[in-house]
Amino acid sequence: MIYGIVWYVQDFLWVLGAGKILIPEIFLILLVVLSMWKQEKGEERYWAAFIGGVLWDLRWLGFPGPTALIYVLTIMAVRWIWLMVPVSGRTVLLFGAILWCALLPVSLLRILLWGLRGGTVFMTYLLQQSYNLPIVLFACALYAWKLKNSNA
Amino acid sequence: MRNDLHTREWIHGFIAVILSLLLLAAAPQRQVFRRAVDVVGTVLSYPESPAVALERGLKRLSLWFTNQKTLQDRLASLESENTRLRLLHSMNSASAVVAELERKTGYARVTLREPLSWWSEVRMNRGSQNGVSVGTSVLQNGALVGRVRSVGERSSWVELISSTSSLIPVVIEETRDLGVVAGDGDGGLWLLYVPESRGLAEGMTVSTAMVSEALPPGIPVGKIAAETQDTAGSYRAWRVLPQGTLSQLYTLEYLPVTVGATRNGTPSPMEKKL
Repeated sequence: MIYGIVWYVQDFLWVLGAGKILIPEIFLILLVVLSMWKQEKGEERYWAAFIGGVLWDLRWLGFPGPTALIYVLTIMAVRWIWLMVPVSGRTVLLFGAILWCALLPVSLLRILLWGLRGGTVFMTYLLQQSYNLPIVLFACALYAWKLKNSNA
Repeated sequence: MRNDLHTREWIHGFIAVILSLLLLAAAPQRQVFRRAVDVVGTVLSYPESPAVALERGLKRLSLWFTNQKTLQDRLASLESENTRLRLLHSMNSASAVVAELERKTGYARVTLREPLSWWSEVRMNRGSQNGVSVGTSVLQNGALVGRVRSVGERSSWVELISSTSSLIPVVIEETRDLGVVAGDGDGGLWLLYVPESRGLAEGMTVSTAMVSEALPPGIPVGKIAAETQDTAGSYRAWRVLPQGTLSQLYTLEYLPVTVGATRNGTPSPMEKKL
């Protein structure tokens, strides 16, 4: 349910931006956060990423595949790194770094599919990361709060 | 058990990756996905309709603000142009008035009024070339406002009736009493040398008297006001409200001296006396 709602919110924002503004990848952020937050239900994350990606591609690209592939690979990478790290090492900083890095490939994909080339890619990339930054910080704050409560 | 779970999870992940790759590989065959794209587009068009409406509304709002700004810029431009045209028109009108005044004989413009001697003197743009001489009576709308004190070729200085050194012989029209109107230096006029017993009343008209040969008789000076002042003896000073508006001196009329006064700027013996 939460996947559907967040996917719809991202789609809604994309429509609102009329394709002129790059919208934060809130659906992927949700998947990444949940992948690290709750270690169980790994399969569910992959299939949610796959279906969400395919739908996104069908809606906005006209052919399925790129987003689904990036989403699934991102979740796999995140889970692989996260599960490799011992529980004591799963700090807020690592959480934020992984979340941030997880957004980089899909951001680049969006910019390239948007048709930007040359020097504008870098500028747009930075701009898009500035949109992601508040969300990443908010997720880190939530994770810190969770850690604090679980330690208490 | 945990390893089994992870293994199963990775299998799911790899299957999803393989499916994604297969879909990506089939991407060049667009007609394969056309139906799916249409279905997704149609289905999503309903939940997306609020976003579409909102986006259109925002676009309309943005357009409205842009139009408003354009209109305001245009309005500002027109106002500026209007101001310039109005100024130009005023300048042309003023030039025409000045030119008309210049053509008329007996009319003059005030060209200087110094703040330090505001109630004492003004300079007008008529001088000896225009028949102005010392002692010439200067009027505003037919009422006496001053007399020429010094004359140049093209301009002359007028001593206003509100000057402290101005003494104008006058007659009260209703009672035929003679007196002198003097200025107090603050824009006020006082009628002097009329006995208290003469029973002057507010509203009586004060005009120039035929006492000075340099000053034509019968020129209105002002009207007596209610305010009085005790002076020495049995005389009383009466405030006179000037008929001319001394605070609005723009154009003046002048009556050249016809009798007695000399044209070279020297006052006649009678003027010297006054």
